[in-house]
Amino acid sequence: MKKALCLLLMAAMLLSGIAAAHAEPLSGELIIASRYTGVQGDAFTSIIEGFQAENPGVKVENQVFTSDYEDLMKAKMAANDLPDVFMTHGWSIMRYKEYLLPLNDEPWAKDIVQGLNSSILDEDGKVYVLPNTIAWTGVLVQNELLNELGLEIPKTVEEFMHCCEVAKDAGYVGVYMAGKDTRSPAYVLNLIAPSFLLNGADAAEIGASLQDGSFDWGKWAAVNEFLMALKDNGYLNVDCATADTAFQSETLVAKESLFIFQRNSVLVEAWDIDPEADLGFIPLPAKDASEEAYLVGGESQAFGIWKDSKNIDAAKAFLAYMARPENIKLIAEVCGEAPGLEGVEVDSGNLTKWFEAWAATKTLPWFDRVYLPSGMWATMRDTGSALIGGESTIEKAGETMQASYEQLRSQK
Amino acid sequence: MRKRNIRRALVKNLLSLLIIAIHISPFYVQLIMALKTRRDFSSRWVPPASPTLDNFTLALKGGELMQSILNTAIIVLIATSLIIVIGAMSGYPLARYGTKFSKTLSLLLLGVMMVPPLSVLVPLYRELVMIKGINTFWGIIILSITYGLPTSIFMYTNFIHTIPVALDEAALLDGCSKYTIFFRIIMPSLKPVTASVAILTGINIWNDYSFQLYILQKPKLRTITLMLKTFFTEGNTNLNAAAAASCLAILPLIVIYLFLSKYFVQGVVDSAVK
Repeated sequence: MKKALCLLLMAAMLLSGIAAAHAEPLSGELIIASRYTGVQGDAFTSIIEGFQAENPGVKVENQVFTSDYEDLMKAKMAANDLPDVFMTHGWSIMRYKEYLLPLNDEPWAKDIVQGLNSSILDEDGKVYVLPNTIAWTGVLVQNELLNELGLEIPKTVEEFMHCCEVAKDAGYVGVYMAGKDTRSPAYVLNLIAPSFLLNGADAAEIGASLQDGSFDWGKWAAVNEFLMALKDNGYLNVDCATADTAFQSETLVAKESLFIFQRNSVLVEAWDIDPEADLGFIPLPAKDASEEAYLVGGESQAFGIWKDSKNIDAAKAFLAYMARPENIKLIAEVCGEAPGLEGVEVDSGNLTKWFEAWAATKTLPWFDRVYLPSGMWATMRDTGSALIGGESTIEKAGETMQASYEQLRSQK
Repeated sequence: MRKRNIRRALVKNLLSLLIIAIHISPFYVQLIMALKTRRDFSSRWVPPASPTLDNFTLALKGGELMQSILNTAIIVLIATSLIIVIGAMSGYPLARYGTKFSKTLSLLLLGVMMVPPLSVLVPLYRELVMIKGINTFWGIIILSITYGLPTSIFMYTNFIHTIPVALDEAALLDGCSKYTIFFRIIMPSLKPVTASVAILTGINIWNDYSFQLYILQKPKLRTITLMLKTFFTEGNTNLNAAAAASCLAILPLIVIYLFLSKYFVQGVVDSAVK
């Protein structure tokens, strides 16, 4: 009996050995959609080249969709013709979930940073993306200018407005707004909304009402008022409705503007122009002194696999390769963000001191990704742009938001 | 009297100079930016103290710009040629036969010209996916021809109206077939309007962004407009390199326009006057 068992075991080992020796090398053509260019593009290309060196049978094509990424992906979703691997830019659950392959069984899935779970897991606990990084977003600040003006880091909306007033009086721009890209005013609304709605004692109640459809849209007026106060008090740049995002990093480096509501990647770009520029990011101001300033965090540079891809094995292998610590580190560093997997040491350069300074700061999720139906981002872009362009009022913008919210919820 | 004429001429010339200056100013700013470093924050109207060609080097890096110029040239050349041939052949019967059908067809073509192309983007995209036209030159060429033809047919029809029918009749008496009349008699008279159609539709296709963005996603197939857009992404914008790339990208068009401008102006005038 023992002999028979031994023989059986040996045969099994032999067979598995033969199978392993004859495992088909990966092959196929992998199409990846990203929006990386410049320094980030170079880093991503080096990762693709590394993967191809290890898997010569796989031909990888990186399709860079730049700033039209979302529009292109919408057309591709409508035609059910998606790339094998694509970036989900914070929308892996609410927008792309039905097109993505669950990735819970991938070896790197257990290493996902705990703080990301609320934004990248669905109600069944499934994860659909490799989260390379987490975006900790606040307000970008020209720190040298802040110090020169004798100002402290603002913790409340009132203090923030005071800083803008001082900057304006000294001939600087309080908040730089690149309104030609309608995402700029929408960023302000999206980032400041938690301050008025989800940062106080009634946060849970308001959050639940946003999710179940019973939200009182009268409360949104405070969010619109914040944006309008910046505009009406002259804290925004005079060309706030037409300025291009291309000038955001320049205005910080040239020490012309004090604050920008944008992601940290603008800082990385600014340091590419002048590595010595004293810039950073600070928490978003609380509504008043009874509440604390906060950061907004969540999924950022994440990639998922199209569930109908014909190259799923190669796509999984690519994500596994990208999940290696050295690659996560590379992406995190060029994007100025924190790693999305545990155990990755990142040299964030100029950003390190800011990450350390705000390590214990309260972090809230991206407002629209958790509390608004998919599609509301476009409405926020429209209403924010109309507000700074003087084409709408606080009330009208609120009504548009409510109408869009109700319509999109009814389409669910 | 003479004084008044001199004054009038002076005002005209000054006005012309002002209009020319307004038109040239964007190109001037573009060139100045292309010659400056990213750290040079001086006014965009002021030439750089020490000009640099680094932006041009960056724009030409990897040969992507030259490849994109070649890709655009291929698309424009094929699409414009077909727009001209098909447009002229369609315009001829529409101009010569004043039947109800011809008139309805002409009206229909005018109607098609009014439809904003992007309003039918999603169904168009789906169809191209179905026939495997995405990421192919023929896909974008078919689309460009489809949207260029109404203008072309409209212009040719108007122009052919100005050619006397007696010419056709004389050729017919000499034993020419309809095709011979078109290719031997009519086509040679269409040079001015052909230059206009070539420039109008050619420039449209050369400058197209939206359709090319959706149809051509492979990096190797990128056209000039798509290539230039890679200099503008969230958190990664290089205006100076984009300006340098734009300077290089507009050169071929300027050269072509200089060669064809005489025909272009003549064609516009002739096709406008019946």
